[in-house]
Amino acid sequence: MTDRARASSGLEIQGLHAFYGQSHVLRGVDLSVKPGQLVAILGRNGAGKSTLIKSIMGLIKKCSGQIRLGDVDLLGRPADQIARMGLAWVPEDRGIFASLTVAENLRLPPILASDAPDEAALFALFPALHERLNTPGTRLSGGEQQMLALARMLRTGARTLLLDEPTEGLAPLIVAQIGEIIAQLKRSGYTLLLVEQNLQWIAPLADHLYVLEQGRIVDECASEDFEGRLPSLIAHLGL
Amino acid sequence: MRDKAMKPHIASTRDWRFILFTGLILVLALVPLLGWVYPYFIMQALCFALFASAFNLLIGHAGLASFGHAMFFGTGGYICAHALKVWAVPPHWAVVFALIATLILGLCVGLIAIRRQGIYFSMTTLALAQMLYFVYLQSPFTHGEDGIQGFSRGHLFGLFDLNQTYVLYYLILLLFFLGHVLIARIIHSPFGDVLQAIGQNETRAQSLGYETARFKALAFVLSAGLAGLAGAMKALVTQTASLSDVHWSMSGDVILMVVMGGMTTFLGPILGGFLFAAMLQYLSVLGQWVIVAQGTIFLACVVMFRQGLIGTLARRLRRSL
Repeated sequence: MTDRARASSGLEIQGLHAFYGQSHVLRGVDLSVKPGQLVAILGRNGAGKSTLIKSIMGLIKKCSGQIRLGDVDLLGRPADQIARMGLAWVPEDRGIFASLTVAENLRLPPILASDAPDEAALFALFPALHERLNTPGTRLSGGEQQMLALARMLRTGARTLLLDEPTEGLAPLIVAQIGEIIAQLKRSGYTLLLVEQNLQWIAPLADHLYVLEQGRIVDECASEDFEGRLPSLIAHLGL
Repeated sequence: MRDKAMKPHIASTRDWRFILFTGLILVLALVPLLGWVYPYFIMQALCFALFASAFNLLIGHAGLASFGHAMFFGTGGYICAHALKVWAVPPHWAVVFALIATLILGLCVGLIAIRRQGIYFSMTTLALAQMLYFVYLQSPFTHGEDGIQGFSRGHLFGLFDLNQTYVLYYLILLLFFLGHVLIARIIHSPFGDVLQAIGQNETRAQSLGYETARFKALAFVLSAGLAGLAGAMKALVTQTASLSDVHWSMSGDVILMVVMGGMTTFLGPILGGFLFAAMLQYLSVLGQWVIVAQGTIFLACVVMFRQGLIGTLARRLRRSL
């Protein structure tokens, strides 16, 4: 990984528009994730949250605006190049490969940094994975699959992480565990951008919250203003 | 620590495939001594089995369905036969020339075809294979409908006379073995894991940091080279290189072999190759109706064993085969 990526770069998005064919999904999104911050994007289904993450990863072909990782513009770059800049993504479906075992899934991505966490460090963080190295990835429970997806992402040495609804469909106990892991990553200096629907879970973890509605940022607040802004956030999310 | 963590996995998934493949090689090595089966049948089956395994590397692991793989099989045969007959080189050089030619052809075709995905990739390979078929039909060196025939196999390294059946048999068995060792190495390497990832979800593999086009191109070239080696082996066995091996129907036959045996398995294409050779040998009494018989068997396999014979067995045994 380059020195630039190692330094846990921040993300700056300005005037981002994204399209699926004729459908205009993101309509001028502006947001900022400073190095070492955890920023959450909240929004209802179909608001454009996953499209935003995919646009950052270079997976939406028709995009305009600006997406900067540190001082590098990502727009127009292929996904593999973006990943090699130290940006890692866990998709909503976790992206575990069915025919590969836990060990194979884990060692699949290229290691981009010499100081990337080794297996010992990852198994300390995700002890359940060590017991199931030979198990096919898709025979894991939802929680274990999420752990594997997180471990695989960390193993690359990426320092800027994009997580798409990491708690979706998981039991409350597992959600709490994932919350602890994410808090630990934040303390270790990782930059995180999370897409989430679970306001109560993400609010205590996040430094900044954005609300996305019909492809636009309609509300935002910093963690210190969270309590005062709670009614407004709840109204946007229809909770 | 990293190596220690991965070791148990590598040992356990290979076991059954390794044991069964080793057993198969030992049984095949004994065939000439026991005189159970006609050696020419086994040699042809070994050629088809390697061709099917080469094709499976592409369709079963990288998820790339080439509809034109006969061009590599046939080209391997033509180059080997031409080198033996016209250039009068020893057989080992004829096989090496066939291998190099098909690797180069694979690179050229691969670079064009992998730009497209799904059915467009398949149709591109079919179109290129049909173009090459027409070139071979018109080229003087292939002798058109007659093909290249009536050449001597020569002496391997100046020592072993390949015109002796059993010397040829062990050479074909050795090439079959080496081809499959290479395939096993590819499948069980990190490169093989990336191919599988591409086959299942190319976008996801890309977002992990892999330039997937390069991996697909390399897989295509390796598959083409192995298919060319199988074609060269068949030319040595039959002492013939003909248009039938470059015809689109041969590209269909290799799909039949892989689907019958089981895509994504290691042993499935080998079984598929043997079954196909058996069909050619024992159903030839049906004349043109052999196509109908093949179609019926193909349909039965698809309906009753969707994962192929070995694939279904592997599922029942909960093992990788």
